[in-house]
Amino acid sequence: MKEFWKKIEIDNLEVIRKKTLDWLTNETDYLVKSKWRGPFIPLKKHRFLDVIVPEIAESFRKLDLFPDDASIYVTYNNGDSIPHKDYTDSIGRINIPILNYENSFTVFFENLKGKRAILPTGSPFYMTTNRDYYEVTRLPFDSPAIVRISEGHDILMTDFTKVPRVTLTISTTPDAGLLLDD
Amino acid sequence: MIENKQKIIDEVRQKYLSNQFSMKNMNPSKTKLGPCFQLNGEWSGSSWSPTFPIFDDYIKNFELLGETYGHLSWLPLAIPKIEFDDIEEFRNIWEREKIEIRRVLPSEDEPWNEEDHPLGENSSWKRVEFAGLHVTSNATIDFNIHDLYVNGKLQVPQYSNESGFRQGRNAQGTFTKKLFKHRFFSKLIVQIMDTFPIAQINNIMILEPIKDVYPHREQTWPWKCPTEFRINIHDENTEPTIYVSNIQTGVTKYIDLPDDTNSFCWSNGTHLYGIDYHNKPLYHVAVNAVWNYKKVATLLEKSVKKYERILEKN
Repeated sequence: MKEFWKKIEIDNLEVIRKKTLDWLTNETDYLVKSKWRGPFIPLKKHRFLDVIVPEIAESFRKLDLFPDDASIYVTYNNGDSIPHKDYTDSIGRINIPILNYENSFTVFFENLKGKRAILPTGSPFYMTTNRDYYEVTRLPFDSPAIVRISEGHDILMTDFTKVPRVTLTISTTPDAGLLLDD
Repeated sequence: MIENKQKIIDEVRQKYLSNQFSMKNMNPSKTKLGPCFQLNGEWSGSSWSPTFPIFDDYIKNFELLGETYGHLSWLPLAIPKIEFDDIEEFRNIWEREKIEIRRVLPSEDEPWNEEDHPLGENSSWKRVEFAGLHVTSNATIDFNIHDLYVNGKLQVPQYSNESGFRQGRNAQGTFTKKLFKHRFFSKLIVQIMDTFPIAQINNIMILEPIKDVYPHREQTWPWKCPTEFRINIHDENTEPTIYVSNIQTGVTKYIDLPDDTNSFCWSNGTHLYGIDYHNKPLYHVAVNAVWNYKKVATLLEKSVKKYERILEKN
């Protein structure tokens, strides 16, 4: 049966979380609600993986993975994110919960169809064009996980989720999605 | 083997002499090697991302390496032999998934259509020299539609819903290309990421010559130091088949690897390369990356030291 997600353990999780959050809070305005323009924010221009949190590459090496790119996903309510497929050739990414992830889920869908659209942040994504997609599984998002972002997915926040909810999402070589069963 | 090889080498040399080291003539996103982070002398990313100049210190460092290593025609690398665990499993995948690498659009360096190309039957439209398959591509470069952008303008709006564990995609670009991700290749990819001097991987491609490969340059990096990195991961030929020819002098040398490595490099700035085909399998891995100059310097120094005797013969 096709796996949509798999929880994993990574070394230095607390260090990665703390350094990421400290940097986001003190060096950027990405967590300032009035500046929010969309949930997906690429961090490449900040050399996040090389300079800000090099511990990520060290931890991933033990999984035989090399991080290519990091982005954050920031949401304040369920309307901030819609069911979508990520616009990339990756099958999977590694998501790391950073802030207010408790009581939230990543929900996966089958039969989601999409067409390319551009977010206000300049990043393309596949915008959903149909309504007859259906949920197949949901990941209680309380630890790092490989997620199949080439399939339809969305964030579900509950009444108990605090905001902003912040996730770090990382693309790798080889593709982390190859560690999910097909 | 192609007839009049040296004559052809000399003709091709003449073509490159005028712009031998110009990065502006390099257009890697449209090469057979697939989408890259470098394009026409600039850094690039996804096809929708703006480009920006390659840093001066990056260029300077490779020019310095060129002063030290510019005399080398080719070099075996001090990297342990890289092999597939199961060659039969590879063959099964290969025979099922490989595609012919064929030109499907004109490009700046060969602006002719299939019908009006001056080389006729020998043009890159009709003469298929390689079967190939990409086994990984950087997640931040859009492999699928990259080549469909020309000068930043989208030519054919296209997206794919194809995805999954076995992600086979045929994409139309200047040359046909196919990205096929499979767990079988993960060990190879990890070995390459661990041992090659990579700052950022563009992609890794496996190629199999299916006829003589005419002498040519890649549209990758034109440095004088060797940065064209390859692995002959499985070669059933009993004699060397890959050769490099100095663009300035025309001197041609065959890449005759020692027994303890199958990784090697040559300079795409100073040399052409070609392959003689003897109807025997050669699976050849092309590693296409943004190179880390410090790692390049370390690897070249170590390799020159280790293979001093072979270099003396060269």
